[in-house]
Amino acid sequence: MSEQGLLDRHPLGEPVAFGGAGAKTAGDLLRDAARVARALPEPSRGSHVLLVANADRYAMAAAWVGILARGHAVALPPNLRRESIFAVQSRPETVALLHDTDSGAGLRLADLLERADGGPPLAAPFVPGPGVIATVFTSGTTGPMLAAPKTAAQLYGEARALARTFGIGPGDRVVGSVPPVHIYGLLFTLLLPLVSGAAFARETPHHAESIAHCVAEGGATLLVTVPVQLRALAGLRAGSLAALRSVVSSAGPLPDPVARAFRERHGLAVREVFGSTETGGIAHRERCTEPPPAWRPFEGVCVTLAEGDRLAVDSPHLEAGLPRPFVTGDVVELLPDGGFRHLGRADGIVKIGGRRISIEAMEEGLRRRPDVADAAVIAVPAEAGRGHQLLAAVSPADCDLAAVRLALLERFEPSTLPRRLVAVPAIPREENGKLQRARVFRLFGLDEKGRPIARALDFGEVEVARGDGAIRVRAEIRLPAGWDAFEGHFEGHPVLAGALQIKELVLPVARRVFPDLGDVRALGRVKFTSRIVPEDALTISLERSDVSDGEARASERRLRFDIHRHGELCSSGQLEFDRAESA
Amino acid sequence: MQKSLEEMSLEEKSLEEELKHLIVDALALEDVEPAEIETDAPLFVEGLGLDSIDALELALALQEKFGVVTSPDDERNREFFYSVKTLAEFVRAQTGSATGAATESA
Repeated sequence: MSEQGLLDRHPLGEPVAFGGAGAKTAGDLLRDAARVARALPEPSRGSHVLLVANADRYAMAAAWVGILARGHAVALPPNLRRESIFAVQSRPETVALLHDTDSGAGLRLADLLERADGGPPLAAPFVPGPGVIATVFTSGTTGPMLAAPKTAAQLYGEARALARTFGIGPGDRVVGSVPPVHIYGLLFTLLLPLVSGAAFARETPHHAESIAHCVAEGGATLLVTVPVQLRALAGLRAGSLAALRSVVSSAGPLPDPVARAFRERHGLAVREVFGSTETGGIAHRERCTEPPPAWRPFEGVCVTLAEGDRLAVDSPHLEAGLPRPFVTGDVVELLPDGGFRHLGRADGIVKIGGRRISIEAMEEGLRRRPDVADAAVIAVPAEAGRGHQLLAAVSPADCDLAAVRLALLERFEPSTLPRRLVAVPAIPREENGKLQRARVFRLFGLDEKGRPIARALDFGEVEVARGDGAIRVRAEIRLPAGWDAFEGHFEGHPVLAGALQIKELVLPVARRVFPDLGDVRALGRVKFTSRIVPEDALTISLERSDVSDGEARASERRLRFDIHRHGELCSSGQLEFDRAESA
Repeated sequence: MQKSLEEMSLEEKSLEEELKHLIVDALALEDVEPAEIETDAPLFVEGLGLDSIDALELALALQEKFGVVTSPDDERNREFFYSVKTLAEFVRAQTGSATGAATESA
């Protein structure tokens, strides 16, 4: 059998998909894939079809096979945000859009799969050519999207290697609680079943209870998930994941307490995978002890040490066009038995008082405490020749910070310890586990370059007029282009979030004129009708019933507000206030 | 004993306020005051702009505080987590009819 085909271990009548939307066989998939192929335009050299399938993994599988059978490659967007999808769609090689959303654009998968067009099914196994079969886009950590082109040898070859490593084959049933759009979900929840004779769940359950339901209903043997979901799953009753034989986690560090809690509750050691979009899977380990064992490279993956103790990887799954071996940004310690320990990221290394400190090693040190569920460390420039200083946040909120600090002292020089250590309910992370660094900086009142956030605007002259039983207030302001309040919401598209319009524009004006207003008690009829962007010249108007004598009643601690830009309404609404403490 | 309408609406207000505080605390929303969260407004994507990890965190916080568990059906969960109002209805439905179950430890 070819090493590059799909479905060669599925007899036609065998299941490929199960779940709430109904079971499907390999025969169904080949028939539906043929329908997709017939609906697509003529292929040309390098042509891609953008595939946006998030609701139904079976529809995605049929689309995947159909796109390749027609002679195109698949393009997968970095996320489901409209701008990202549009950015991939606008690329010259993208010739069509296939999706399972409600949008009217492109080709809707539901229409194609339901259409009885009388054409013949595809023949299995379907073996694509040697070129790129898919381009996986990732959101760059700092800049624009990155494209990772993949061949069948890389993707299907890696899926087969995973099937061998994890012992997955016919009879196995895979539930993925991560969507198949990122490389991790694509490999483990779609391609691994399709190359190995296993079946996959059509849905992507998210909450602990729905994951357990999907596992129980489908008789799932493998769960593919991420650390944040494992934390929620560890809170389920023992026995609620009884069908499972293995659990795989990737996309972010799995804290020791979570690995232990999950193992103790469900009797399964999580199998953790280490890799990246460029390299594919690099290594794996079973979280059977704390501290965890060393990483074992996957079959066929060769790891060596490059300059600066960085991990260098050579593997058949490496992206085409990368130098071999590929030097990663990860700092590791190679062990005599061929395994390695991960010490941190090379790009996360800072000098503090002349000492090299890995931010990840510090985070790792924080996570070692049993009461620390998650941790994030940021570095900011420091005065007086220290170079940098570290600020750290740990969760949950009731961590014993003094004990955490003591534990760090066992491993780190006192001068390198975080200068500020706070406990918060949750560390802000992306859906895929990636740390939301900007939000961590904001926990400390800093912007992403470590500068204090100074939000307050100077409103200058505020106009107050009385009459007709009302007090009317008007203030004018031009919003500075570099104002911090624009940051952190939509990368590259600075807009002023609704909550900040009230907090930064309406409330400061109200507080200047009405000292008797306390905290905001309620918001009513708030409408945001037009986006507010940098350099907008705005007029902020407030209106309140005029209280000439005595103390204002509750109904009179109410303000109507609106924000206009040259006569165009941007937002409006009503605020209700408590009485100010001192008034 | 029947509660007066006023008492009931007072109680409702307090659960909703409690949820707003829980959302701000559990998700460490630095820039949001509980009172700024509109009871009827969507919490996810538009509105407050929470994401799916926030939903998991919120589910854990709700379980800790009220002993309620999410549904095995994510469609229902999406409905429950739509707004403070729907969350309050969800909490009330689970704690009101089965107060005993609410104290069962996780």
